[in-house]
Amino acid sequence: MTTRRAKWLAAAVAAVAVTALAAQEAAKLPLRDRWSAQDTAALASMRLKEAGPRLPDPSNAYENHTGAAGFGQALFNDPRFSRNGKVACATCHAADRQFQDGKRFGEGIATGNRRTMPVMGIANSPFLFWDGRKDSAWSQALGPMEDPAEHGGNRTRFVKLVQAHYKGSYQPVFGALPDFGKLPDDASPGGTPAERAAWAAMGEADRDAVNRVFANMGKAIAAFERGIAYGESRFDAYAQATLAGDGRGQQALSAQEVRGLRLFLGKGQCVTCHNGPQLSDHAFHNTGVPPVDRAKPDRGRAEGLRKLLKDEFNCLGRYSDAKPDQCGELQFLNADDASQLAAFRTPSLRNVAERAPYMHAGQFATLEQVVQHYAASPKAVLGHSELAQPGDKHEGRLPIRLSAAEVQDVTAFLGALTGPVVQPPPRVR
Amino acid sequence: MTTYAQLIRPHVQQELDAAASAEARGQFSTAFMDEAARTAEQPPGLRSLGAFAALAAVAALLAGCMSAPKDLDVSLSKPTAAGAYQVTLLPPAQQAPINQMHGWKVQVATPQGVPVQGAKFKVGGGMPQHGHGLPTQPRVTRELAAGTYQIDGMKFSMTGWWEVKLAIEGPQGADEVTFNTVIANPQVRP
Repeated sequence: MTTRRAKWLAAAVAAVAVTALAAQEAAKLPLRDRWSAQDTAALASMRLKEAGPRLPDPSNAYENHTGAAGFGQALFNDPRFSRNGKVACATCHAADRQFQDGKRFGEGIATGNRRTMPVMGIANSPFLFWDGRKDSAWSQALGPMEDPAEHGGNRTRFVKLVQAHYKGSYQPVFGALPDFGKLPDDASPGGTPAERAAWAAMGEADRDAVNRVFANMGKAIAAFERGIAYGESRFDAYAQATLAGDGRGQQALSAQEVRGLRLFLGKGQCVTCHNGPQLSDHAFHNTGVPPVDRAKPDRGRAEGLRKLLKDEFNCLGRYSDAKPDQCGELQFLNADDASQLAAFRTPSLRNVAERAPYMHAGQFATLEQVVQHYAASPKAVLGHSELAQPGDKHEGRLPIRLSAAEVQDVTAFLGALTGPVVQPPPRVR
Repeated sequence: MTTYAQLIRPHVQQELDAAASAEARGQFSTAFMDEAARTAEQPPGLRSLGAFAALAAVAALLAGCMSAPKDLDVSLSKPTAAGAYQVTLLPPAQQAPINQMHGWKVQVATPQGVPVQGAKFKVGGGMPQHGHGLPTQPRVTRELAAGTYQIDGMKFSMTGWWEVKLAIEGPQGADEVTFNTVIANPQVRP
């Protein structure tokens, strides 16, 4: 191509581009809602796409292994991995119910004492469960399997089930199953007295081999769960339109929802903890949520920290694939902070309207009641609420004051955070 | 502004430069090294880091925050409470994203500007307006050069006013200092 022709072509391409851009500009309406620079920056930071690619978990070497994900999906849905043969992960984390159960307390073998959390977003959180007692998706998956109120199983029984039904899925991913001699049917370090005794009677090598297979089950389930994520909501479309100066796109939210969003960022103070693309700071806060039993209030993170540190399946444990210096959250764990007493993990607000009831023990039936709780900011029964109490002289912090109409507006806005649940197709069996 | 004389070996300086340029590209290392303190042996070179600290302070001010007090002292170089040391905090050149673990550096000198080696630290802080501490327990993991130390495990879980407190134990005794920093949302990219 001659230089002259190239120049002509470049000019023509530029002309077409300018025309197209002008047409696009003409189709745009001026912004319907104006935002300050500071609010615009906040809106930008809350877009789902700001989350970027899911963070790698160095403690799970199999998290991107498709064979592991397939095996994990099968385990997730298999009720044989429970004491009564009727409880699978999917029992409480149902794919058609936002990967949760809609109940106040999880119901497995028995009734638990906390609200079931959804599976979406777990790759983004350094700690899992309401009390953060687990530090990875794979380690989290192991907890309910042996919890007497959930699956109620034990690790030697699980290993025998893998041997009997999943050898073909397990071995291509994790290598040959160890040749266990005579394993007790039911044994675990944390089970019934009989199971604990059987565990103690096992040799060290057998215990280690059983733990290894058990840990690998968790890693497979985590590989499956990695494919489950929140999709974009009307809020994301609105935030994007606002940044692009697109008034038509701002119609994604109603006037009431926009009023609610302004309160969310402003005097409602919601964004203080519900920040970033997951609308969670992934930290733990005491906000004075009333305990189920005032005589025996849940200690929350304070207890979670204790469990996390002695968990053999944490990032620094022998079943983790991470190097010690990749376990920053444990290496720099803040385990000595009085504010962690009766503090609970900030949940994501994505799809929150689809997930009643609310709080760590389903204390509130509706989102309106939740917003009302923050507007009232009661004192904590255990520990200290971070919310400024009415009449309180908190340094530079105002109590949350919302009128009845404003509570409605914030509630309406929370409904705009609902988007699809992205999930892998059902496994062909 | 205190002039800060320090002794930095070339390979340590290379590491510092590499970390600074990675941070400028938005890459924050969460790894850290618990290796033995490395002290300087090279002839003295003069470096002024005061301008860097001032720049960071101005950036923090410009970013602003609705709830932070207007007259908040965000200077990153100040004497300790009892005046035993002059301390300069060096955050990454570009603010780390919210909730991402990263490292800061801190320089400790006598009031006369002589680097203080072998100091011991306790790192604390939190959000005074919210009644909670830091989400992590950062600590000094090594002495990079005479009087320059690496703080690892820093993390801010939300925007707003944060305090970073250092309790320092050195040859001049124990003293402490509190810095303020305002964490803002990053610049908007559509």
